Amino acid sequence: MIDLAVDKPGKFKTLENYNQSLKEGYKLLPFRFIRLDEERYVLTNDVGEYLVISQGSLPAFVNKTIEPGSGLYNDLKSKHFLLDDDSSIALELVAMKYRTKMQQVSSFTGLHMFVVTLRCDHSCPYCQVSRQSEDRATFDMTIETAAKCLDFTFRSPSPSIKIEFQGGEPFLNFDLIKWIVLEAKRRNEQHQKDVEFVIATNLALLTDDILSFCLEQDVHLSTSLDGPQDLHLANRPRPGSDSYQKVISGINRVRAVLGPDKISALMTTTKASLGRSKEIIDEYMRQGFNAIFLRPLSPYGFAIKTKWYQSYDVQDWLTFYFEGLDYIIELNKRGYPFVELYAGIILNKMFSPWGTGYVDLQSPAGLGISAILFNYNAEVYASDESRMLAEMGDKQFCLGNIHENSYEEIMLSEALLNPIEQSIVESVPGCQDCGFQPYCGSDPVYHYATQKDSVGHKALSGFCKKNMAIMRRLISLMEDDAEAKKILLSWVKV
Amino acid sequence: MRHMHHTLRILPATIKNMQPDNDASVTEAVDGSVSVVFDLQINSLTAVKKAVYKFAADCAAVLSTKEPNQLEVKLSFPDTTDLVDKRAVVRAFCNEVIDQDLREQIACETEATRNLILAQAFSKTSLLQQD
Repeated sequence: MIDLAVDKPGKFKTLENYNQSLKEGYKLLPFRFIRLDEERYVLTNDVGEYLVISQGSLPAFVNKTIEPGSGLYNDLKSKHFLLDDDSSIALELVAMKYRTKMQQVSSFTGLHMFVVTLRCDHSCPYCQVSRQSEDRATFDMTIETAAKCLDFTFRSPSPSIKIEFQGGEPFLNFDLIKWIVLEAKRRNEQHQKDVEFVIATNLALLTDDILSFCLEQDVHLSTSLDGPQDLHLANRPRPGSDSYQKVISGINRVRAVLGPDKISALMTTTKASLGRSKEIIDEYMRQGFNAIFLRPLSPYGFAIKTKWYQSYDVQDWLTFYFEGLDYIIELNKRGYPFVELYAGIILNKMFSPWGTGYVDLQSPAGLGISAILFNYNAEVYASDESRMLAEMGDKQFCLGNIHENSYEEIMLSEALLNPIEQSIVESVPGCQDCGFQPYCGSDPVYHYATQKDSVGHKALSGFCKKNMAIMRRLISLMEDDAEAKKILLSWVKV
Repeated sequence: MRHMHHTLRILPATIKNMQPDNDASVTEAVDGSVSVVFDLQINSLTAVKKAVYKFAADCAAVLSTKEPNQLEVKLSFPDTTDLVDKRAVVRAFCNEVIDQDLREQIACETEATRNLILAQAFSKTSLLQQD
């Protein structure tokens, strides 16, 4: 029999060698923490690892009295919360993981939004972009402007470019969309980037010609579906009161011609939606979707003017959201795979080695450097929300004019650099020490819109309240319900 | 009006809900404000300030020094805050001070390691100036 305890020269260190290194104690690696509930803390670190420990274990850990080799010690070590003599590779590993998480920043601007018109056939009271009904000459983007926007788009160093057409209703200026798609593809023969196209449309004006073009050019469509017929009609009025029939028929036509994966839908929560999350989710399932993005109203445009935004508060929305999330988990437990996409983004931030690229939940915020918007009138904005604010008369986040300013002038403007700097959560008051920091962001446009301050006081922030509540719920679910954890982990795209 | 303080008369049944996990002294004034006195040899001023900042939605705070190393935090609540909520806020506030103290200790102890990790993470990028 071989005596493994004998210390002989060879490939492996002896057991005593490992035990000795453990006896020499451990060092803390940088981490943050936050109370999960009355009994537990969540520990997180910069590479996105988290660990839930009891209230009593935290001071014990910090005071270095955790028993080496215990379950808690091994968890803390494997998730990079402590360093001992046996983990010399850990620092390099943590650095590599951190760099991977931050890689998206080096890719620079990927999403380029073109507002091809502000005109719209709908008259939604919650419209956040303040659509216009008439005057083609004033509210449509011109070819000259679009050409300059494409010049700008192809200056981006990102190897992947997504061009998203926004409105108003983009189909009202479909000739321009056709021109931009064909011209972008022509230019890309030289640039050889990965270019995608998406049209955000209510589908009411969908025609066979539009479908044929989208099929030929591989253009995706994204639409709005707020829930069952009565809710959708109340939220999204148009002449003829047929917005629901139009969108359902449009979804089916797109799927039949382009394929089932070429159409996605977004919902917006209004006061009338509260208490109806199950019906809304059922409607999405009935229409063949396997995911939903439960979205609150944003503080911009007609949503403010009509006071729809003020008609419910964050707590009301969280109640709505958690009812929906619980129902979706229940559906999954019953064998119907279905995803809540916002939870999915946060879970990806927790468990994927890469950043998600979701501009509101990243540090620094994705303003301009992940996504940028060209308005119909040639003005360039740091985000979709920035132009919504501008339509209310506040051009705080207007970066310049595509005809008057160069790429360098726009990307290095104070209007962009200031809010980006103010969104770095590692240094933002209230975020700096927050245990949920690795999964969160600090949306400067939201905070400016609600507090007239791009940093914002996080104790008074609806953004902060919403995200902290959701993160607490997701971690609690994963800690307390093994089946729910399995379902939530299935939403992570590794 | 004379500013009166009295020790909370809710002992012992509800003291559990108000009393912090540290040794801070808590008193309630007749105007409904609550004063918490911290020993600055135990809790840092920065930790208390950060906790005050975090609870700005629940109450307003005035900080003053009573005696050397004694920091009084007077918390004033909106009229709509009931006693149960007030007790919960005071307790959470005091616990937050403890948490902030611990955060300071951890940040201080791990700062050098954190800088090392960040330097290593970006060492192969152009973010670091090459001399």
